[in-house]
Formats: sequence, structure tokens, C-alpha cells
Amino acid sequence: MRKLSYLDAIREGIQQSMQKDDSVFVYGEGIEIASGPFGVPLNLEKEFGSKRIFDVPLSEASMTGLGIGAAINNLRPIMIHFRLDFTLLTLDQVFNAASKIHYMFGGKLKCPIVIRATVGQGWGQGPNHSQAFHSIYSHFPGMKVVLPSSPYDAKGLMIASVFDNNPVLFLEHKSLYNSVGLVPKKFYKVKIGNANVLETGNDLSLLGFSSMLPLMKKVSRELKKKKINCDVIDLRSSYPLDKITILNSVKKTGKLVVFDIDWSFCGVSAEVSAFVSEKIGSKLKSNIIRITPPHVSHPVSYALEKYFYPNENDVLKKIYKIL
Amino acid sequence: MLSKKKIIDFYISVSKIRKSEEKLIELNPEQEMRCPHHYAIGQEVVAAGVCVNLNDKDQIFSSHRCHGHYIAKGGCLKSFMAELYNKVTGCTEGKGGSMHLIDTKKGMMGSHGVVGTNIPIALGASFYLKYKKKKNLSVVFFGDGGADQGVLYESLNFAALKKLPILFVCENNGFASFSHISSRHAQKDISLRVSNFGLKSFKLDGNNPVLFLNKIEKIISYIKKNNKPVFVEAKVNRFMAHCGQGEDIGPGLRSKNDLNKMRNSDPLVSLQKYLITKKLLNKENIKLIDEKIDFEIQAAVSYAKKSKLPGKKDLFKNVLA
Repeated sequence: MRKLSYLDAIREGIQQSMQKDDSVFVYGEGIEIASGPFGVPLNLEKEFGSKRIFDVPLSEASMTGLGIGAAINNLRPIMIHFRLDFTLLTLDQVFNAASKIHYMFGGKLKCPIVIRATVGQGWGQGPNHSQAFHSIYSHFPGMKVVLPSSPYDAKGLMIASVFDNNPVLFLEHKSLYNSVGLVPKKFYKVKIGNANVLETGNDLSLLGFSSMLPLMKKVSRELKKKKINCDVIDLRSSYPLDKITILNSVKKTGKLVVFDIDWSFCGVSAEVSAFVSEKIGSKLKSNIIRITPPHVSHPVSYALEKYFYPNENDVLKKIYKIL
Repeated sequence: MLSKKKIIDFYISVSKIRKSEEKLIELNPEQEMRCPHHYAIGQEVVAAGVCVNLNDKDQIFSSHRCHGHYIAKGGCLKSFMAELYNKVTGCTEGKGGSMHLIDTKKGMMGSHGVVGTNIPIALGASFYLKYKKKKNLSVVFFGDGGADQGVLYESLNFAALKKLPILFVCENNGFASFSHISSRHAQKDISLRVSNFGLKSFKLDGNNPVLFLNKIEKIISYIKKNNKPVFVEAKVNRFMAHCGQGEDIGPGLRSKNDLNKMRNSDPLVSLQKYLITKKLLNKENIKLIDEKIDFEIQAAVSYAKKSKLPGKKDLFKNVLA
């Protein structure tokens, strides 16, 4: 099997979705420009033409409505935002319409839109260009939220998102763009809502998403040296959560560490922790630990960023306290 | 040139909207319809005039004040009444109520409860129509409150840029809920404001039924022929309160005298007079039409009252598609 980068895997997922079904179209700010931000859908315009892949004005709210109005008519739009931060301009469309349009119209309409956005951590992106807040999207019934961590998942989850009949936030992380992994050439889906158990161990459950996986793997490697074996589980989506896999792991280990790139307060890490304690709280052998950025806005200075984003040493210190 | 059939269908539509809403007002004291009602009494001409020029494949999108649009587009009256009675046989099975009416078979593609939300969604529908090379158009109805929202101007720009078949209809009744247009707009002429967006923009009198019908027929055939967007501002009078049974008379709103003037220029009455004067219908014909509408409305009310309320399992239905 050949290797692809995370970014190329996403691109291939989009390309194969467009080849499969001519109701799939792609739009976003600056995406027609081959050398545009990240060059993401690079060259797809040549293959599909400007009818199916096109640039749009900086009108995030109405351009989201554009996708919704197309989606309720059985088209399958992929709307691209180069920063998740920009999607805050669209929340009326997403939460007053897309997420509930199927429910509030008694099942008469479906809204299969993919909202693809980047978390832009790194190189001083700061408070309006690097936020992760998938908790907001996970909060509203009717939405699905996927956060791939590997090239394989990025492609498979993209295809699954495009052909899902619900609105899906597809959240990719800039720090993973150049990571490389095995990706089949064929058209395939990764089922949304299935976590991926990457490593197994009986001592500790490490659960997380997206760019937290590299950190989780490092932590697991370090603990293994001390004969502490971890379940390392990529949750892959914050909604739906793979509750069965979570419970099976924590029942076995009795100790839970939840990693998230979003804030902890009212975040998905809080949801996972609450869920586990409601279901099997009495079986826990220690307090739950959450590894997240602190409750401050995203700073620019790299001197501050190093305190903002969780690092291996701090994580290990917290974990040693419960071992 | 307006056909006799079109003018009569137009009358039927105006009368049906009026009578349906009057029935809601009449039945309201029973307190069985538990959801907010935003009546369009006085404004019916715009919904009826637009929709009588559309077919079932043309799509419309409405706002909180949507009863008239739904009825004018041919939405099922039984499903409408059942929805207002919160019943499971309603058009959204009791999930949406009076602000979320839908009848996709008739091209009524849903109404939205937040002012302006429907505008870009209608834009998306017109994008779909062009994408699939359909010969239809999308219509979005909103009020002068909708003209306060940024998404309108974003959508106008995009519709003009991509030459999408969409009709923007601003029903300007001068109020966004309780807030008068003079406290909200520096440039009060909405159609003038829009005229520089790269699409045709018209100001029509929604209180002059036949003139409105005449002009809107030409506008809609222009859109269908040229696949281009058009904006229409229609001046209308809302007789009832923003929401519910009242009349919204008071300081900052309107005087009893102003309201009386509006009621004295009732477009339904002037349309009846026109039909009789032009010998399109006589009084007896009109009476028969109205009785038939009354009968249909009564049947819808009976159906709604007899229908079942949704059950607990319905709460969890249609969360995900």
C-alpha cells in the first residue's frame, strides 16, 4: 500500500467522492486558487470544472445557507473554511437550520453538508486563527463531528462524511498535515462513531482526538518503559461518541485520562468524564484526569504557547499522581 | 396580460389565506393551538400574487409569518391545521408548529423562525436549480426586519454574481416585531438600497392587488426566461399584532386611526370590487367560492381536532437522518 500525507488523503477523499457522485460539490474562500491557503483541493478544478468547485465571497453565513439549501435538495456540498474560527460567523445557519432541519420539519428534509475546517495551531496563529471548539458543534442534536488523526482516517472519514445524510463538521488539524501513513487507493469509508483502539494495556485508558494522538502515543511509550501499559484510543468523532469502546476500556483499566484540543470547561473531555462517572463511576480506581489547554484564549507568542498546549512532561507528572 | 383564470385563482388564494387566519383567531380562545401565531392578514396579496405564478417544482422559503405563503403555494390545509393543533398528523408531526411549515410536494420548502435564516437557504435552493439545469426558480419571503440582516446583502451579491434564478420578496410592513423602520434604517427605501447590487430591484404596492399581480407575473417570467435574480420590495399593511390576537396599537407602534385607515383600504375588498366591476365574477360567484373555502377550512379543523397528539417515542424520531 502506498503512503500519503494527511492533507493528500483528505484531498483524495474529496476527489473520489466527487468522482462517485456528481451531486458532490466543493466551495470555499480562495479554493480555486491553486496556490491558495494550503493548496488543499489543488488541481481538482481541472478535473471537475468551476461548476463543482468554486471560490466564494467572504460571506460565511450566507455561504453556509447556500450549502444547506443545496443539501435539502439532495446535493452534497463540502464547504471549506481555512480556520475553524471563521465558522463562528455561520452559527445561525448551522444550529438554527442545518442541525435541526431534519427534526423540525418532521423528517421531510435532510441536510448532508460537510463543513470542513482547520484548527490552525502553530506559528503564532493566535486568538482568531487557531481555536478548537468542536464542543459547541457536539452540543447540538443533529450534528456529527469528526476529528481524524491519521491519513487513513482522514480519507475514510471524509468519504463517510460526504455520504452521511446529516451535517458533519470535519475538523482537521494543521499540525497533522504533513504526517504520512498508509492509505488505500480504493474508495472506502471509516464509519463515523467507531473509535479506533491503537494500543492495548490493562493499566490506564488514554482517550483523545486529532492532534492529541501523537502526544498520547509518546506518553504511552514513556509509561511502557515503567511497565505501565495503556489503552490508546482514538475517539475519531466527538459526536457520536463510541460509548461502548470507552466503557469497555475504562472497565478494564479503572483509570482514565481524556485528551482534548478544546478547552476542558463544558468541553468534550467534560462530557466523556461525566459519561464514564455516571455509568461506571464506582469502578474507577482514581480520579479522572483531563489534558486540555487552560481556560484562556489562544496566545500568539511561542513563549506563551508552550504553557498553553499540553506537553509530555506535564502530562506524565499528572498521570504519575494517579498510578 | 393577466388571464381570467389567473385572476380568479389569485382571488381564491387571497381569500383562503384570510379565511384560514380568521378561523385561527376565532378558535384561539379554546387554547388548543399552543404555539405562537404570526398573522399575515392584510398582506395576503403578496403571497398569493407570487405563488399563483409558480408551479409545484418552484420552491419557496418563508419566515415566522408563513401561513399565507404555505397556503398560497398549495400546502395541505389539513396538515397545516393539525400542525397548529400540535398533532402528529401535522406537516412536521408536531415538531415545528406555526413557524416551521413545510409541504415539499408543493414546493413549500420550509419556513424558519429566526429572521433572515431562510434567505441564504433559498439562495442554496436556487443554486441547486441551476446546478441541475431545472427551469424553475426559488423564492424567499421575508419582512423589512429581514432586510436588516447581513445575510440578505451577502445573498444578493452572490445571486447576482452567479446569476441564480431567485426572487427575493421583502414584505415591508414597516415593523420588525415592534420596532418601526424609522428607528432601524438610515436609507428607508429598501429597493433603492438593493438596486446597486447588480440585479433588478422593484418597489411594488402590495396593497393594490391587480397591479401587484400584473407586475409580479412579468417579473417571474423574466426570471424564468433569463435565469437571473430579482429583488422586490412590496409595501404591505399588517392588520394584526406582530404576534397573536392584538393589534399593536400604542406609543411607538401605530394609532387606532392609522389601523382604521389600513383596514379601510383592505386589498381583499378592493380585489372583490375589481372582480365585480370587470365582470370577472359576480357577487354570487364570490359567495360560492368563499363558501367552498369555508368548507375546506372546517374540514381541516375537524381533521386536526380528531388527530392524535404525538407520543413519547416521537420525541426521539428524526434526530439523525
